[in-house]
Amino acid sequence: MKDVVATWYDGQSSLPNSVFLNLDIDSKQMLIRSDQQEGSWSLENLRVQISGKSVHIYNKLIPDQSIYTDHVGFGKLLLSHVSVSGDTWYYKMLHAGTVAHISIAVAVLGIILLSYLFIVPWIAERAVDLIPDNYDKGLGETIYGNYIEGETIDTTLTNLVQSFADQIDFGTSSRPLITVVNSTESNAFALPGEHIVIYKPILKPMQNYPELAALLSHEAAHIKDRHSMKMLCRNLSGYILVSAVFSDVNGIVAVVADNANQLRMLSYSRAFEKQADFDGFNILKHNKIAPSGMIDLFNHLKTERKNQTAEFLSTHPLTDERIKNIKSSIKKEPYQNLSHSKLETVFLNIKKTDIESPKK
Amino acid sequence: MENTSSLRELLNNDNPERNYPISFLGEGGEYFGVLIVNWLLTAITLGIYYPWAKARKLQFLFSATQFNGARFVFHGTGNEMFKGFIKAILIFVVLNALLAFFIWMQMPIVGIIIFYLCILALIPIAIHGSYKYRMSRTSWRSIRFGYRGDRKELVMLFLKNILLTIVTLGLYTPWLSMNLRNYILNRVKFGNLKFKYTGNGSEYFLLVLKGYLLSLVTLFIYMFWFQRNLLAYYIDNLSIANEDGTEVKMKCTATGGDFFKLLMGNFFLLIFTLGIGYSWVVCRTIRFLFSHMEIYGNLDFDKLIQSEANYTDATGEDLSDILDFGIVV
Repeated sequence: MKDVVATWYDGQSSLPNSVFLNLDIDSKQMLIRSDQQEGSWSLENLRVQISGKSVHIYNKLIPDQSIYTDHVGFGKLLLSHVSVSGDTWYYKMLHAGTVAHISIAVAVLGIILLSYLFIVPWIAERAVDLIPDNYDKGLGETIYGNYIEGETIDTTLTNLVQSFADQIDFGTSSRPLITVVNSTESNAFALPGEHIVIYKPILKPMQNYPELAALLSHEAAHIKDRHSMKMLCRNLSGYILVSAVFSDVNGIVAVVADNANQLRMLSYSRAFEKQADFDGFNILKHNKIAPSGMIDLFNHLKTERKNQTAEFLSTHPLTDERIKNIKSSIKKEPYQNLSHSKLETVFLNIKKTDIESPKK
Repeated sequence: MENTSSLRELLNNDNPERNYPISFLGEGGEYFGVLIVNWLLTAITLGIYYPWAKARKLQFLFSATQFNGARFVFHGTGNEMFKGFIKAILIFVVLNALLAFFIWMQMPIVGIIIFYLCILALIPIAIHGSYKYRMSRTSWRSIRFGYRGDRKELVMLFLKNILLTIVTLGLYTPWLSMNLRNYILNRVKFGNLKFKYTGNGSEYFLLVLKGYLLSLVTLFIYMFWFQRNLLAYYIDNLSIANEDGTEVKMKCTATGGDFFKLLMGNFFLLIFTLGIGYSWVVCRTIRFLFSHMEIYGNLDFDKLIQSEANYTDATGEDLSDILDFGIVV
C-alpha cells in the first residue's frame, strides 16, 4: 500500500516530525519512516484513537510519544489489526453510518415513548395498590386543612347535605365528609380519602334529589377509585421519566417534554372523569336512585359553562358526550328505582335554604 | 495590531509577533454519531456506561479542536473515570451515613450543619481534582497540560471567599469568582509554559452590575451584550508566558450581535428538532467561540518541553459531576 503522511511527536518537545506510515501485516508491525531513520511499532502495543477526521496512534510501551494522521482509512485498517482492543466494537458502532445512527435514535426514542405510554402508568397503578388507604386520608386531610382556611363554610347546608349523603351507600371504606363553601363558581371536587367539597352555586339549579345524589356519587366514585392518588403517582412517574431522559439534554427540551407530559395528564384526568361518571351511575343504580339525575346534573352544568374549552385542553369530557355516555348506560343496564322519601325530605330542606350566591 | 507587529519585527527579528490560528473542526453530524452511541450504551447498561460515554465525548471534542496546525487530545479513559465515580459515590455514602448517625443521635441540626459544611468543602476539592485530572490528561503535540495548585490552599481560599459571599448576601460573588479564577488559572501549565490570568474583582463587579442594570432597562435585550462582555473578560485577561519572556495574548472579537445570532440560532435549532439538533448546537457554539478568538504573540510553539506528570485519579472530575455546580473557573 501507499505510504501515509503523518506527524510524529517524541513526547519530549512539541517539535513536529514528518513521517510516513505503512503496515506490515506479516510481521504485525506499523512501519515508521522519516528522512533520517526508520523504525516500527508492534501492532500489539498500539492504541488507536479515531475521532472525527483525526487519528492519534500511541504505543503502550512509550506512552508519551504520539503519531497523528488525518488518514481515517489507515486508522480503521490499523484498528482491524490491533489484536487486543476492546475499542473495535465501539468504532464499529461509531462508524455504522448516519442511517444506522438515526435508526438507533428512533428505536431508543420509541422504547422510551412506549414505556412512557404503557409501562410507567402500569407501574404507577401498581404503586397505588401498595400505598395503604389511610395514606390517602392523611394526604386529603392536609390538603383540606390548607384549602378550607381561605374559604367560608356554610354550616347549615353542610349539615343538610351531609345528612343527605348519609342516606346513600357509596361503597367507600368510610362515609364521605361533605363541606359546602360559599363561592361565585359552580363546582365540586373530591379530595383523596373522604372529603367532598361543594361550591354552593352548583346546588342552586337542582330540581330533584336524584340530581344531588348523582353529583355526590360522581365525587364519591373519585374517592373510591383513588383517582387523586393514581393521578399523583402517574404525574410523578411521568415527571421522573421525562427529567431522567431529557434533563441531561438541555433545559429547553426538558420544558417542552414536561409540557407534553402535562397535556397528557389532562387527557388522563378526562379518562378518570369518564370512569367516575360510570361508577357514579353504578352507585345510583345500587341505591336504586333514578340515574336520570345525572343527565339533569350535566344539563345544568352545560348551561352554567356556556363557554366550553376545546376537549384537547379540558379536564372534563364535553358535557354532551357525558350525557350521551350516561344515556347509553341507562339503555344497556337494567335498573330499578324506588322513591326515597328521606332523601326527598332532606333535599326539600336544602332547597328551602337560601342558596343565593354571595354578591362580591 | 499589524503596525505594532511590524514594529516589533524591526526591533526583534528573533521573536516576531504573529498570530496562531485556533479552530474547531467538529461537525454536528459526527458528534451526533458519538452522542447517539453513548446514549444507547448508557441506556442499555442502566447508566453504568456514563464514565466511558463521557470519555468518548471529551475525546471527540478535544480532537476536533485544532491549534496552530495540531489537534488537542484527551487521554482520559472510561476506566479511570469509573474508578473516580465509585470513589465519589463512596464519599457521598459516608456523608449521608454521618447525617443519618446524627439524626439517630437526636441531633439533626448538628448533622445538617456538618453535612452542608462538608458539601461546601467538597466543592473546592472537586474543582482541584477535576483540574488536576483534566489538565494532565490533555495534550497537544504530545505535550501535557498540568495544574499545580495546592488543594489545602484552594480549600482555604474558597471557604474564606464563600464566607464573605454569604455575609455580604452575594454581593461579594464577583470577587469570589475572580479570586478563584486567578488562583486556578495562574497554576495551569502547558509543558514548560505558564498560563496567566489577571482578573480583578472590582472590575468584574462593575461589569456584572452594568450588565444587570442595562438588561433590566432594555427588557433583557442587553443580555447578549452582557454575555459577550463576560466571555471577553475571561479571554482578554488570559495569556500564556514562557520563561524566556516570550508570550501570547488572547482577544475575544465577538460582538453582542454575534452572540444574539448564536443564541437565537441555537434556540430555534433545539426547538424545531425537538432536541435532536443538540450536537449541532454544541459544535456551532464551540466553533463560534474559537472563530471569535484571536491568539497572538511571539512564542515559538515548536519548542515546548514536556514538564507535567501524568495524573490518573478522576475522583474530582466525578465529584464535580455529582455536585453539578456549574461554576466556570
